[in-house]
Amino acid sequence: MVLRVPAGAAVDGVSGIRLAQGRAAIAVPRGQWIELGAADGGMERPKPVFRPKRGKRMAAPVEAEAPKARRFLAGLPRPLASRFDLGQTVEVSLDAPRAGKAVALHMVSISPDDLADGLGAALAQVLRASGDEGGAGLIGARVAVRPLDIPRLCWIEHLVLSGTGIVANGWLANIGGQTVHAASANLETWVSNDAIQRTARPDVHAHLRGENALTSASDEHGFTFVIPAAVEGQDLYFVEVSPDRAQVTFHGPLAVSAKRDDALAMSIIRGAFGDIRSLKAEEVDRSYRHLLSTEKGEMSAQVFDFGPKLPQDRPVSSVIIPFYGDAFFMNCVHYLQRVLDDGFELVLVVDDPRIWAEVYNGLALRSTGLRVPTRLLRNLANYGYGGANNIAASLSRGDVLFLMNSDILVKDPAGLVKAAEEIRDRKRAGGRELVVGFSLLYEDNTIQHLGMTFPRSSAMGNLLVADHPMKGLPFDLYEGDPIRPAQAVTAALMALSKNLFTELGGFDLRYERGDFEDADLCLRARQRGAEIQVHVHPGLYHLERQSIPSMGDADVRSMVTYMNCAEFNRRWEAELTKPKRVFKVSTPRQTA
Amino acid sequence: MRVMVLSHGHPDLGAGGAERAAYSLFQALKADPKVEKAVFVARAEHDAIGHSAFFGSFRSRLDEILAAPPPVDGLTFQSQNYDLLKQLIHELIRHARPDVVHIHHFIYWGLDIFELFKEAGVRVVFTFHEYAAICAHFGQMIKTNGRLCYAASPAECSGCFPSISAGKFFVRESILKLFFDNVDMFVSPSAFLKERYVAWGVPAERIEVIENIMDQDVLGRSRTLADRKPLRVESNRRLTISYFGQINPYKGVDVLLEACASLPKRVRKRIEVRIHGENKHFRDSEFGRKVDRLLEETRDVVRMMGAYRNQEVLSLMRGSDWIVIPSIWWENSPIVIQEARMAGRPMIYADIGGMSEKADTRVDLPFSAGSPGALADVIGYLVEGDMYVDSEILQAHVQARLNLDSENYSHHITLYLRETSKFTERRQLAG
Repeated sequence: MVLRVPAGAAVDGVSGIRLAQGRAAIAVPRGQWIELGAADGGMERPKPVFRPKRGKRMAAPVEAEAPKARRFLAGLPRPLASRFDLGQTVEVSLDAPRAGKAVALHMVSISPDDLADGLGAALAQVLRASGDEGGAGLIGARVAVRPLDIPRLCWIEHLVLSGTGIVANGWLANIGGQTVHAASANLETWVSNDAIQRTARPDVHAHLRGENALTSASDEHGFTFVIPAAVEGQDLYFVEVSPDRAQVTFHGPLAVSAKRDDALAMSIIRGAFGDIRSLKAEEVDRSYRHLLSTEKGEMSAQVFDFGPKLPQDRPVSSVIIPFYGDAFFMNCVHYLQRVLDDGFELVLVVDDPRIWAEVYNGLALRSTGLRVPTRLLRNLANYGYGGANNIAASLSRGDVLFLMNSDILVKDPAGLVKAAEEIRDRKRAGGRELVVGFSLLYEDNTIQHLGMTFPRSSAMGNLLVADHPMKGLPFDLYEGDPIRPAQAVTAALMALSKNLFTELGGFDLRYERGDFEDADLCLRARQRGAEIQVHVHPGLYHLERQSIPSMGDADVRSMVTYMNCAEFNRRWEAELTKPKRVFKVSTPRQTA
Repeated sequence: MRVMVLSHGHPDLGAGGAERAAYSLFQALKADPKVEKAVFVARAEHDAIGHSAFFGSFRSRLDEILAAPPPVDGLTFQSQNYDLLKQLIHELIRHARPDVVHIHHFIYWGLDIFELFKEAGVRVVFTFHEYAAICAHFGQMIKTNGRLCYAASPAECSGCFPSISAGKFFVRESILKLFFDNVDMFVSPSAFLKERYVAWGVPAERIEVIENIMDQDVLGRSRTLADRKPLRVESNRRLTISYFGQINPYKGVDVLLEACASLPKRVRKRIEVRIHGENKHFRDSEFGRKVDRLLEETRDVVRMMGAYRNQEVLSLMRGSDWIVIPSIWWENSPIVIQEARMAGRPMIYADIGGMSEKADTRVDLPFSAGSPGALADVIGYLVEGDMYVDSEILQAHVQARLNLDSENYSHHITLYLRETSKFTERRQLAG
């Protein structure tokens, strides 16, 4: 926040500044104000300020025009600042013995011009105080803004929207030998030097030689990087940092106007960064992640209730079933309606407008036949598998959650009833939390799931993958215990207390489209002391992956799997490869 | 005792063996003074009802109700509007007050009807007419490549329908079995059909083999004809072989036509093949075009006789020397076999399933199902060989079939009485 005080006005008596917007209000004490240097005569255009994204703090900008002003900067901690809607006006008033009237002001963002205009040093001070030395060093340098010399020294060849990102691709003279970041005009989005992939461009090299613009022998003038799609419609700057880091030059602005083309975006990224399977998790983040990700905004859903009312005299378990791509498996819901008792509610969550009518009608036109309280959620956007489960969990009414894929067929619910009881018993006894997975069968009575293990896979770059032991073998061959320990269990059918799920923050949405988030959830639960078990019980079928094919083509699907796998390994490889954590799958059969 | 017979169609609105069997049962129940009330409920298109209500009566007959239930999912046979179906079924139960409902098919109605009747305390009897629960290929147990299917499994069914996963077939099977749990007793018109359902998972003790009841009108005509002698085949006239039934890809009309086309001229001169039936649904299909082509090739032998009324089937059969049943699917208990028996005519039959079970090899001639060459051999043998048909056996069949119908009816009544004697809590229906 930048405050301008008219020359001669006394501020010593002011104890602070108060910002209010609706029910949100904060005060910044006078002692936290940093006086900025003289602002070129004090008659410049109003200088609003800002939200320096790279810092741990943000400030609500305040704009006030006054001649010969003194300028002060006040940083606001991000948690406080985030209570304000930046698109709305803010009521600003001074805490002073003779307080004036509050002024309604619009908030606007800081720009590179502001940094060049003397704000940089003060902002660096704020960032430094918040522990962001890197950001402080950058902003605190001498800052200049220069226009891009297009097409002589720079050319943007592609700006392509895909997933949640924009792929930028082109060339910038001599970028190979320089430290160059990319930043949005509001400085909220930064693409670091490391994330900008350089490529050799002999054609450009020849051109630059002709222009007498070469500064080194390197022909790496090509660049490719990915910026968040939120930048669409803004200006972009290349931020060149001098070798001694004393000078920072913003080259721009460059208007960002991208068209969606998933295939082209993928082709550019593959060409620049290589096959995803050759990349580490950090490299995936810089290249493919945005292209393979779905939007993660605030989630909300419409709620429709069907069937009998929830019993008030006893706890219920909530069976959460996300639907995407194929409403055929409403048949499994109809089946559940006939086998579950009144200790359950169903929470169906639909992410997919293509099947909404079919799912809705499947309940609405069957409402008199529903025996289990059924809550239907219509997500306002596609939040992915993890998001759908998370929002459904938050809107479920049971104390025990069953996370269930739509392609699970429960022929015998006894295992579910027992698991819910055990989870509640643990709670009552104050014991360790329990996460229960189940033996799941294919339609031919072979094993689909008996718990997960994490072997390395050469097909996945030697990363640890989630494996299902005994998969595809006849169920009769299992001779182990009816309850077996596991490191993790599939969320195709998983039971745990709602408390535990909430404490864990639900599924981590960094995993895209239904991969690895269940293993991750289990391992996080273990870290918190929970016990993971597989309950072996016939009558539970998983018609695995029946709804996955509609999630995109096989190539994209496999890239998403790799991305999730790389992320999972980044988090858990060390933990899972500890010798003591080696997981024994089953007791070998005794032979006579 | 009050009995409701529920069918997927009314035989006078679309002839099919199952509809006719259901209606014949209703006729017999209606004529039985021991039965307090018999009601026939047939699913019909809304147009056939003639007004906007979901119910109507057929030709103003108050005990023949037409109903237009909501659509049914084509794969799992569950109603797509359960609430409306429930409302319709409850209205039927409330007003007809059946002790027993004998359901002759769930198609067009939805499997939910089993549950709805059961929950309302009505005993549920269900007759299998083909393999609809087992096989998604029109319930015929013929693979989509034309081969006979001997047993279903989710993976194999998916092989016939690659766009439907094995898992979905597993769901289909599970749902069918779940709803079949509401059936108190199954009836199979043939032992062969029962075997298939037992192999699929229905307990043998829950299936009784009882032959379908014959049309009472046809039976009456049979009695008046029973004392007549079978036609003698003189050498100076053409041998007449007749086909009766729908013209569709499963009844084997094309096999018959191909057999005729392959016959040598000298044989063709001595036979006449009559096709009694209509091609209603396959006129514009590849099958329809094939039939048209073969008819053109066999104009000297084959006569298209067109559709026929049920009442005249026996006299039409008696106008023939042999009845041919060339079906390429297993069949169940084709009503045409019963009719041929009553008409006192021998049969040429495809040697599989229910046809094989019902044939009498002393008088009937089998051929390898689906083989035009094998059928041509049989026809050639009839014309040029020294074939003798024991008319006494055929006459005995006529009488036996008449007696058998009474027995079959009696089995039905015994079954109903046994079921209704079991304690059932009658649920009070709302409204």
